[in-house]
Order: sequence, then structure tokens, then C-alpha cells
Amino acid sequence: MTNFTIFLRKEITEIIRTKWLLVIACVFGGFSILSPLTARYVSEILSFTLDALGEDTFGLALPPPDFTQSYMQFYGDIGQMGVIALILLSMNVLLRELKSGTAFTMFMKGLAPGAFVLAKFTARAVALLLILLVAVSMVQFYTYLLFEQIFPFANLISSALLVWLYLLFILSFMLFAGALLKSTAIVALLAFGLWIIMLIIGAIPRIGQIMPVALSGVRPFEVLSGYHSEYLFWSILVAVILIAVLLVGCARIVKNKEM
Amino acid sequence: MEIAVETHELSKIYKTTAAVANINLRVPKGAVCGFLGKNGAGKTTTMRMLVGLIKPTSGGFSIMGKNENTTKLVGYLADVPEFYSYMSAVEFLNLCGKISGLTGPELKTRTDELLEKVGLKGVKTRISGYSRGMRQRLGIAQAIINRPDVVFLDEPISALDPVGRRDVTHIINNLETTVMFSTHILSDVENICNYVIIMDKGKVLEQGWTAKIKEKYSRNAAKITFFNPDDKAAFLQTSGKFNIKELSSDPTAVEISSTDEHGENPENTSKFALASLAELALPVKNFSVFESTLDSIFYDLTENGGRDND
Repeated sequence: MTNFTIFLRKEITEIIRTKWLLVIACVFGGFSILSPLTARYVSEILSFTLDALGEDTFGLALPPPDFTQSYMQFYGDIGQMGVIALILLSMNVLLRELKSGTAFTMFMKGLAPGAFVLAKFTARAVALLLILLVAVSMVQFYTYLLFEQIFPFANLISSALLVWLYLLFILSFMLFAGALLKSTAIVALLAFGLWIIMLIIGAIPRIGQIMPVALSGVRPFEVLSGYHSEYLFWSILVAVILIAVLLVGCARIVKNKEM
Repeated sequence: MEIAVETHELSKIYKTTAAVANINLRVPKGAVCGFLGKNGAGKTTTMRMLVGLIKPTSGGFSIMGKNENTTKLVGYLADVPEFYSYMSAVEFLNLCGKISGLTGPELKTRTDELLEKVGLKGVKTRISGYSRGMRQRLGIAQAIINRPDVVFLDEPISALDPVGRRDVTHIINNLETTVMFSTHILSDVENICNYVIIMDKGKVLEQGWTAKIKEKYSRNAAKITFFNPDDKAAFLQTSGKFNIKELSSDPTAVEISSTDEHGENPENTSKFALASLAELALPVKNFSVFESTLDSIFYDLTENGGRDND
């Protein structure tokens, strides 16, 4: 693909200098510290607060802190707040270049539209992977500190890769929508719309189990605890196919777009 | 004469509006072509079709005789150029150069040469801190980094202050390639363009070498202003050899042009008019020969639909 590596270097510079990397790292890093803390102390804080206020707990017994909640909390936060951050930070990534004409300047010099789209995707995909790996390592570390009990590291990495795949699906959708639409706000609205629809579909038996949204919820936790669901392969396959279709579609739209 | 840019019945229609309607342009190789027209005349649309930003509705064009894959033959500067604002000029030109296929020492030499040419050598600040003039100059540098055969510049000087205009026109004048640039500032076109295209309402009204167009639209006329209306009347009584046009705005002035028998050129008009005035011994307050400028030609073509003698 013509000039892919040259443009990839430009994209890496861009995500560093425009603080894209920093903001995502802060969001993920923040949750990696907060999740184990929340899992460990939230029940204690709640009990203490209710006692202090003299409120009746109506006989409800709060469950004792469990190390598994630390991971569940983290993946839950990434599946929600992480996705929202990714949507907000990526809604303008492609559209800005198409609207301002910088993309066309590069195409005139010989950059292939496919390389343009793939470089944008690759730079952010690699950044997300590194950030996610660091974040889950921090979750592992803090979970051990607070609970002295952890899941095997290999399981942790496998489950993080599933979440990464889900984030890549969101990212590829953002790029596709950016190529298709003319307004940043509409791109963001469409992405949030898709996210909500995915959450609804995720609740449908069977179909929901193989949709990309399952990669941010039940599937990583299964892998983490060493259980391999019959739907695991299919949910990975569906996500990979959707990502490929969105990226190819994005490159085609960019190639034929009047700027 | 080798042609750098040629269009054949080129059109662009948006819904029911023809932004460009069946135009046939010919820009010779090496020309510095001023592309003139009012807002909405179709200049930008034409340029955007020629660089490949938008597709024509019908018709076609060629760049250096080629009809396909012409994008790499051209350089383009948009009317509001945008760059990667987090980069410096050197970084941006290096990126453009690398994507164009330049590497190693060749890339460095070319980047240095262009920065020198556009006056940005040694500027280390990021592009986000550049003035509009600096952005235009950087835009020109990126447009020519791959040594294109034709450079299209869309309004490169219109929004600049006088110093910025002077700098950019100087750069355009020294690009050493075929240049086609659109502008509203006719005096700059007059100074640096040897070829002119005038468009209005999506159509080409006139095109050709600047000198020839000025010659074509020369008015072969002189204006005489007398000290009083009586002197004017005395002159008119003996001025059978001239075509006379009364000027309603000034009762002491008259516009004259020589008739066929004296040859149709301003020199003859001037010579015979001065001889008549000397013969009659009439005092004259002002005597001036009309000289066609791009300004007058442009306004005549776009506002009056051309002169009677067109």
C-alpha cells in the first residue's frame, strides 16, 4: 500500500502531539487504579456511611469484597466510559482531514486512500493495545495489593485482547462514519446510536452472544476465569469481519469522495 | 505552442445550477495565467475539477496532453489552505516530499530550497502559530515540492495585507512552471500574468495572452477637456475627421476617436487631435489617451457583456 509507513509515522506523531494518546491513557489508567479500589472499599464505605447516618439497611447484607469484582469493574468501566472517550476523541479524526483538504493534499502527492485510512486505524489500534495492556497490568497489580488474589496473567492478556477487539470495532465505525458523513456532531450521534443499539442487541439471546458488544461484557470475564464459551470464536469472527468491512468501506468512500 | 491545460466542454452542474457550463480553456505551457471572475463565476469549481477534487458532470480536460492520472502532474493551493498545525514547516514539507517519492539528500535539498524560496527558512514555530501570509507561502511550497507541470493557486493573494501580497506575487512570478491562479486583484494580474482567462456565470468570456487581449480591447480614443464649453464647441465644428462622443458628466469634455481613413490606433487619434487643436489654437486643460487595462476590460466584459466593438 503506497506510502503506508510514511503516513503511519505522521499518525503516531499526531496522536502524541494532539494529546489523543495522553487523554486515552489517562482515562484507561484512571479506571485501572479506581476499579480495584472501588471493588475493595465500596462496600465498606457504604456500610460506614449508612451507619454514620443511622440509616436502616433493612436487613440487606452487603457482599464481602471479592477480587473478581476488581476486573469486572474495570471491564465494565472501559465498556462504557472508555467507549464514550474513544467516540469523543475519534469523531473528528478522519472527517477533519477530509473537510480541511489536508487529506487531498496527501492524495495528490501519491498517498493511496487505503493507506490513509489504514494508517489512521493502525496508529490508534496499536496505541489502544499498549494502553490496555498497561492498564490491565495495573489492575492486576492493585488487585493483588488489595486482595492478594488474582487471575492468571495469560487469562488477563487474553481477556484484554477481546476488549481491544471491541474497541477496534468502535474505532473502525468512527472512521467509516467520518468518511460517510459531513458533520462531526452527526458522526458522534451515529456512533452513540450504534453503541446503544449494540447494547440492546447484546441482550438478545444467541444473536447478542456473537455481536461485538459481547466482547466488552460477558466474554472477557469468561476468558479471565478460564471458561471458553462456545460463542467465543463466533464473536471474535463477527468482530473481525465487521472491522474489515468497515475499513474497506471507509477506504472506498474516501477514494470516491468529492472534496 | 505546447498546451499545458486544456478543457473540452467541461461542465459541473449542482442539481439545477450550472457552476461551470461547457467551457473550453487552453493555457499554454510556461504561462502565468490569471484566472479572473467575480464571486460565483466558476473559477474555484473549474480549478477543483482540474486538480481532481471534484468530478466533472460532463466534458473533459487534459494536463500536459494526458487525460488520466493527471493528479501527480499538478500542484494545488486551496483558497483557505489547511495543514497539520502541530507540525513545523520543515516537518510538513518533509512529509509531502516523502509521499511524493523524495528521499535522503534529495528530500533535504528540495525542502531547504523551497523554505528559502518562500521565506520560511529558519522558522521553527509550529504551523498553528503562522500568519495567513506564512500559510500561503507554505502552501505554495507544498504545491511545488514534487515539481509539478502545472500549479493551481486558488485566491492566493486575495486575503493578504500589502506586504503579504507583494511577497506571494513575487514567489508566483518566480515559480518557473505553468501557473494558473485565481484572484480578484486585477493590478497583480496585470503585473505578473502573461496570460488571462476571464469567466462569468460559469462561462469563459475571454482568454488569451494579456498583451493581445489588451490590444484587442484597446479603445483608440482620447479624452479632451477644455477650459470652457465655447472652446469645445469650436473644436467640434471642425472635427469631422473624428468620431465624437459627448460626455454627459462634464460639459467641457469630449471623447474622440479617429475614423478609418486615419487608421484605428491611439497614436493616430492622438496625433490628429493635437494637430487640430494646434490649428485652432484652442487651450486645453487636459488631454489623455485611453489605455485599456485589465480592470476596464474585466468590468466591460462582466458588467456590460462586452463592448460594442467586440
